[in-house]
Amino acid sequence: MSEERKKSSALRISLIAITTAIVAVFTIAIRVPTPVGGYVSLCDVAVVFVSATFGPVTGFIAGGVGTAIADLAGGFGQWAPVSFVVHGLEALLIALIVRSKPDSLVYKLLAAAVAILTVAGGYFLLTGAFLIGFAAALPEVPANVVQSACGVIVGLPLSIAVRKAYRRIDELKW
Amino acid sequence: MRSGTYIYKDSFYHRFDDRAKLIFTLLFSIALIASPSFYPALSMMLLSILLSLFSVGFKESLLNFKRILLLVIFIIIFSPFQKRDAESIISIGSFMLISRDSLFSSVMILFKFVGISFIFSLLLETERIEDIVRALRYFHISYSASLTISMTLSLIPALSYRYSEIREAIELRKGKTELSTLFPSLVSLIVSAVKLIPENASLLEERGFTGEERPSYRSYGMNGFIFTQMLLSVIIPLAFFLWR
Amino acid sequence: MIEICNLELSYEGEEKIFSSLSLKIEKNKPVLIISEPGCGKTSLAKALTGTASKFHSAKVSGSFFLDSLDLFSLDVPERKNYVARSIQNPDEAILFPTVENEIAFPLEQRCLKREEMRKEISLLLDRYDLLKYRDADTAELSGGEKRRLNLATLDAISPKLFIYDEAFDELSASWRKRLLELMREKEYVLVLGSHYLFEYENFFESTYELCDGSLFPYEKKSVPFVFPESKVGLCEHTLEISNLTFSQSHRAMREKKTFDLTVPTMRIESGRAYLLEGENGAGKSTLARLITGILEKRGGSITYDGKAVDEKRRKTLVSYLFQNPFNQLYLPRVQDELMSVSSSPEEAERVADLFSLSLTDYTEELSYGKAKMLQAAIYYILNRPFAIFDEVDSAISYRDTMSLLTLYLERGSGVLMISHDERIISSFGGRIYHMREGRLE
Repeated sequence: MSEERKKSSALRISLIAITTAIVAVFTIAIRVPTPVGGYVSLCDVAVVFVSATFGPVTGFIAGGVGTAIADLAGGFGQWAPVSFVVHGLEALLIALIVRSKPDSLVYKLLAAAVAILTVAGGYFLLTGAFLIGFAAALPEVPANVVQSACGVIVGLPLSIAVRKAYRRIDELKW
Repeated sequence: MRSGTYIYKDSFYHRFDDRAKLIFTLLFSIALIASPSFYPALSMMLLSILLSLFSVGFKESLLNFKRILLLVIFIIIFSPFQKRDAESIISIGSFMLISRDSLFSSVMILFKFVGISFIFSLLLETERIEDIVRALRYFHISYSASLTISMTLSLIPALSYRYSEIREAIELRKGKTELSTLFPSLVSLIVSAVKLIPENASLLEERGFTGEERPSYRSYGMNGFIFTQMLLSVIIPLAFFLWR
Repeated sequence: MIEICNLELSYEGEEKIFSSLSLKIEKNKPVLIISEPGCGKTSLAKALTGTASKFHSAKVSGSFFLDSLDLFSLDVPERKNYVARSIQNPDEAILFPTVENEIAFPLEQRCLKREEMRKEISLLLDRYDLLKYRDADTAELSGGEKRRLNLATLDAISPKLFIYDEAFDELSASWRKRLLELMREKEYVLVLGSHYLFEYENFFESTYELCDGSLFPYEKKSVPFVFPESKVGLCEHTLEISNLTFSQSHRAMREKKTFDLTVPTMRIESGRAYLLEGENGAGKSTLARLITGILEKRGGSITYDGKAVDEKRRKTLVSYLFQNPFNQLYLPRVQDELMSVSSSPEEAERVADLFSLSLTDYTEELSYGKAKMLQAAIYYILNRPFAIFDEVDSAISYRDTMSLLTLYLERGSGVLMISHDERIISSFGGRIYHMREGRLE
């Protein structure tokens, strides 16, 4: 890698743009049908993947802005600020955990717990305080728990699979 | 994706300056959330609904409402579970169903939620996203940030399309349409997206990008008319905020 | 005058793509380089603009001078004033959501005044007949329109040396002529292509062929060609289509447009080769998707050995080699991919040899052409009764295309090849189907 490349802000801009788009696409365009009817979005899978693979700064921006854009585009603009904070924080914490001890099972469980707490707890507190009230925010919690748990269960293996398939990816960490 | 939110009409709010609209949406939302009394909150909600009806029409406004309907119902249904330690209005035997306080708080939440939902939907229905980005540039977000957002907006439909192609391709290879094609499709999608990173960076620089700030090809004028709009977008929320 | 001397390029840990490549380009005397897919045309373009070494970890050596200016001493953004290239795949060439934004970006980098920029945008859009799309989303453009947008963007960069990398693909005949006319007005022009188009006659000052990493003067040779023998004998399976109809609506420029497809009759027998040809946008890929069951037909029937088959079943009957092979690959190594469909390691090894693949290579690091061979190898093992080759010739050489065809025919598959390559069309020995604006003839 040349010296000039390391200083290139073009690379950083592309990195952020693409990881943010990945998060947004996973949230909007990829839906998995659930046994109870309806769909589950893969947004947490993307957030966990990006933060585990690319680090805390990229994860924070991609996770926060990506989910916010997805909300704005889907007609749920009022959730955008909440999503930004919740998923941005989720990405940051996951990245820090993964970075410290990537392979230990205990840390993976810790990551799952952190994700669930941040997402389910974060949405509950923020939407409860500012949007729909705590009472109405409660029914959303189980769904968020499932979604964020899936995020870690699928997102971490995804990170491993992608890193195995495309070895050069580690050059893009930020 | 983009064309899904913008509604092509020519209303007063459509023509309202992008920057003023952004400020208005933000301040209005804050004033609404912070409002402690019944009448101000109600008026704000009504204002946002009226604005919606006059800007995008009845059909679209109804669609906006339908999207939040489920949550509105939740707010109403779960109202008994709030503030149980107060004066009761409706009870069944010794079981307090609704208290005055819980009724009040539910109604306030309703007003605020509906009001914010409409004002946000309005922003995206009367503004193209690239105009919103341009407004943000006016407020001095960095050149790099605005470039990144624009690129992201272009990548989202491109990657969505790629995903459906990849999913089809892998279903064909495996000969079936099942959940088991999901994970491989995700891997393939992500790798093809990540490979774009150095390609896009190359394109940026081949077209002259050095990281330095450049003036945009579009510009904003500043005239009396726009000044009035800006003033309005600050004064109206402020007035509501001060009305207690 | 532009002088390139002893240019060499290699990617990390691999052999040199080209070595000691030397070329002179004179003012107003365009140069053409022809080479088979995978021989390094795009790598050459990237080496000249500087992105091969900066972003793709390539080792580039040699010299590149414009008169006395050493272009290799300039960083990429500075070099763009002297050399710029068009992008082979127009879908990957677009950076911004709107057409206007896309063209304006290079103009912004040139620090033009606003009024100048606005005039230049109108001028360039008009030159490539895109003025009506000024406010459009880039996502809504067709393949040909995206190609023209990329050409307009190249003009907006306004370098001295214009490198056109497979720019004539996806352009209609009239646009090809127009593009050549526009090239006359440019100072230095280098065109890279994989086929010698008849429009090129009498246009280029010098024509070269890039082969095995070196430049040779181009000689038009008639390709020695033997069309593979179909497996004669019992035709084991047939796929018959009758009265197939399909329509698809899509939003373009805020109007709804429908694309209608009709196939009165079509028959594919296993062990035989067929060609489906037609212009870009005629509906060849759509028909392929209908046959394989990705898309649901509106009316008509598709039968397999006389019995109707639904979409689900059809997916298991046809090996569809997607145009972009990477869409169908997702496992880390070649051996992982082959073992996922093969029952024995011996078979995997044998097939890898047959398709010139190395088992330990990493899938995502394969070149486009090798990935195509891997894709073909996977389907070869799956051995379905029919196969569709979608524009295979754009990824691998003519000779490799024919050997793939032979391998599949010998195995007993019925092959439907989709192509718009004149060489293949004119020398094809099997039945040819023509697709004209959604209708099969």
